[in-house]
Amino acid sequence: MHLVLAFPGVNDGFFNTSFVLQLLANGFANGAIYALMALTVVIIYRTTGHLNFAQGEMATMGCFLVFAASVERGIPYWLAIPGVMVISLLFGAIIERGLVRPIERRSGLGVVILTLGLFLILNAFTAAIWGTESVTATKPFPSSPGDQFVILDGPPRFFVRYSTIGIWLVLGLVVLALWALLQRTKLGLAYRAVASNRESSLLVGIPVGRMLMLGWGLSAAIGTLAAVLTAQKAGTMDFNLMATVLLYGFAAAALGGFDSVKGAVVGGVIVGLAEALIPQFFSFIGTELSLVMALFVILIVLLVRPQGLFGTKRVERV
Amino acid sequence: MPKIIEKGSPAHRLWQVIGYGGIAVLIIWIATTQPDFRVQRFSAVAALAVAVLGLNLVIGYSGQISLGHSAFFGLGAYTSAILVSDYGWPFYATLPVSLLFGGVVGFIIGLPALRIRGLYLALVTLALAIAFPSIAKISQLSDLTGGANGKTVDSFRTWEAPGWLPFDVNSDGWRFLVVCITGAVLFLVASNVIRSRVGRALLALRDNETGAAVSGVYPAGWKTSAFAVSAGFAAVGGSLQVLAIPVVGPDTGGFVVAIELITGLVIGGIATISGAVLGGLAIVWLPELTKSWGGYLPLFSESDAPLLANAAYGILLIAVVFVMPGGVVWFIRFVRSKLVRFQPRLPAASSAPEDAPVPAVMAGTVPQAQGGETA
Repeated sequence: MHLVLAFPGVNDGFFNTSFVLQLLANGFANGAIYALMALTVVIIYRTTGHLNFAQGEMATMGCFLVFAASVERGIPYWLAIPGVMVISLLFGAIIERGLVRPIERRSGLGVVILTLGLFLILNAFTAAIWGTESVTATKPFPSSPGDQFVILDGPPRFFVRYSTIGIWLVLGLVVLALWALLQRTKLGLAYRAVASNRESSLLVGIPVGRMLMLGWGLSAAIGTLAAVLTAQKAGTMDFNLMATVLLYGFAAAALGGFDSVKGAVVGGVIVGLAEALIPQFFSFIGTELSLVMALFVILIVLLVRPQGLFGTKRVERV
Repeated sequence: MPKIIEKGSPAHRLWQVIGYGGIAVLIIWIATTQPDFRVQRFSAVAALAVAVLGLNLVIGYSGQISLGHSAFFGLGAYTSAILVSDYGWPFYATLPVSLLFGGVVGFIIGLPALRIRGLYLALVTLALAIAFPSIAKISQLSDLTGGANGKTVDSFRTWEAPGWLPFDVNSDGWRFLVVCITGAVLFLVASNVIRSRVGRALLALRDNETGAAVSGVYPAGWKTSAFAVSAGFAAVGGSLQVLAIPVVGPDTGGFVVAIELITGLVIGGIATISGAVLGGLAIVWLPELTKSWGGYLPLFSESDAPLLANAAYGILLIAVVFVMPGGVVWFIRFVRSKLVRFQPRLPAASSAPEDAPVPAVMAGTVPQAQGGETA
């Protein structure tokens, strides 16, 4: 099946089943990572109303900790990754309690500046400890050239890498675990109560502070996971691993709605697909412009529907 | 007990003359005696100070968060560089173009600010800063922007000081003076605007948007205009930067510069005019200061100078937020207020006692509902 359309600016080679499927698979894999990053944004935003601009750097540092544990010291991934996720969780909670909470009463701008400062510090320390050169990525899933299912035979072939499937599985597991935590446990109920109304939660005796710490901790742990997957997908990693990924995550969260878990997943997948398909479809949009596209996604969504696809509209009392 | 000086009195005027005259003498001293590399650094200080001032108009005075003013800075730098090197414009003529261009783009970017506020605007502008280098590098624009290599304006290097100057300066020194004079004009404009009706309207919007709207301040118009003007300032800052250091590249408008501008703003002092100058000084000289620490700290080797500067920026940002939320300027004012205090002249008929008893109930202790309850 090969359709040739003579649209100006449209890539003719685009209309090829294998090629399109390959792009889709790739887009879904990136989308899953963006969805994870968007989840980290949403989890914090729901309870505190803040955006953590250091999210990506916290995740990168977590990824390098996994690297130090597994690649450098040979600890198996199934042990190293959960271990580092626990460390990230504690780190996130400490950041919330120690740095964010004393500031947030004073001003929202203060928190923005704080997380920017944190971004700079973590970025610099990651680079200082592990160097500024790229290193071989952490690869929890098999990723040698042969590790793939060939679905449509050639040329071009359509195949799905084991690691791609692994990324989808991780996203599924995280969403499932989050759902179970938020909807099926008392802890999750308390978290949702804080998200819905902080003052009332305080009045009915929910430890609001601890819920905020939980949010930041969870977010940091999921971020670490997302960074490990990003590194796996890219093959190499350096200290700026998550800088652009976080931006796509923000775009995804903006698209889905900053307070919606479902929105984060859907938004992530849409952003991932758009990033994979649009530059290939329109040949005049280079791949280097996909970041600019993320900008436009954010801008247009916020203009047309500020609450995002699944977010709740904020009502301001006057 | 601080010495009290009435504003507008001869003593106050004397203070002002000493203050501003001192700064002018300092600038001329730098331009005439300092080595070229240092003069260039100080030119960069002045150029960045203008950009920080622009950022301050948005963050400090109209309460909108922009994390992407570097994009306007880069836009201005490219505008001047392209017009001068490719079209042979005189530099001075590019300044209004830069201002206008930055303002128009700022207006377009600021339009969403009508619908999106606070963190959302922060996000959009952040994306703008991160996207700027990739836009500057795209192949379709490379004839104009020079692609990844950027642009160099060689004609600036041959600028000579005019003969009527009463002192001798070389090319770098003269360009430093031009940057300073242009900057001074912009600072004068900004400080007068802030003290006028416009400034009061912006501050009212920042502190309580609903309240301001009810009092006749139209939020949409004011906020977009503030964003546009501030973008224009940042663009002129970029133009001045090109004059000082005649090289512009994609990263001139990138995320690192955006962070630097914010760092400068926060360290200098949010919502202060003079803080922008201190901010410019901090941006340029802090990395110079930390450069020499490289070999002496754990983790950071001597080749890690840029990293060390970033870490220092980060630590300073957090420290200022915690310890000195008003920045260095507020600290200086605090110290000064212990020594000398400038007071506006009281109306003649007023006989209100200076130390009237404080009301029993302070405004802050009255429980306030969230949102604009006072409106």
